[in-house]
Amino acid sequence: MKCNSGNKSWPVYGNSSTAGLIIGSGCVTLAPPNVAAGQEKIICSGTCDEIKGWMSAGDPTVKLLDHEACHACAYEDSGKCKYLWTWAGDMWGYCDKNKITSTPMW
Amino acid sequence: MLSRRRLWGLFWLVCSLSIVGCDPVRSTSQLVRLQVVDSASGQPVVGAQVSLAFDEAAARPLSKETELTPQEWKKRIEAYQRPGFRGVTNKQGQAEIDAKFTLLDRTSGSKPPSGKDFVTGHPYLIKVKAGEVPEEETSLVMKIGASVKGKSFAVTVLDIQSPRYVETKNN
Repeated sequence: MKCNSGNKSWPVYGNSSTAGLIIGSGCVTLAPPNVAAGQEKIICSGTCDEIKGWMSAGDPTVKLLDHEACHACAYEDSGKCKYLWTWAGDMWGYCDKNKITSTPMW
Repeated sequence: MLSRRRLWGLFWLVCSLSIVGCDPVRSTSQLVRLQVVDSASGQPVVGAQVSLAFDEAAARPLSKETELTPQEWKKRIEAYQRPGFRGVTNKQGQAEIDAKFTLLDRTSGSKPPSGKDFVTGHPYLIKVKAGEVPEEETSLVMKIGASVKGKSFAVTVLDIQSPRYVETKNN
């Protein structure tokens, strides 16, 4: 993903039972304080193949992984307060408006 | 006994996850009806295999790219290009294709809100294969009445239904 601080890679886990438990169907981007430093990850309930086809709302060129990359880059660029802020900001579509271009490596 | 630090972490986890932080998805389905005819004779093509896939490269062309190098663009387009939704033409040369999408959706209503139509007005790759004729691929911006003529087949969009919610497969 192309963060302001440079290209970053985060692990993405498909078929995540934790994601299924938390959200039903969808993805969650986890960074400190929700996980330990160094354990940053994106977890999704769908298969690795399926989630590449999941979209963010509105524009089919904007993928759900671009939306998750917005949360992840907030942490990479500005730390945990900004990361948590993007979650609250999603109430008015912050990460839809500020999506980050991402490319799955699988 | 949990340490104060762990309790604080747990507090944040519960608070942030329960307030908003998750990105839930829901799935929609749209029926698309296409007419396939022989390009030369105009006769309906029966039993043709038709596939319909969102055309990533046409929707996000390199010529308008501002964030990616050509190599990065190519990699992204290849990574996100999906296999097509499939259908087979009937005796009238018509194929009904069920286009299913899964997208970020925090609503809980029974009908998708506006802006969830991912077919109308968007470019799609249409592949047609019938008998011994080699598979033909064309790109078309999907609108009712829009058509594209290839070397062997001509395809017309007869109908695009509004999206409706379907169950999201949960693994």
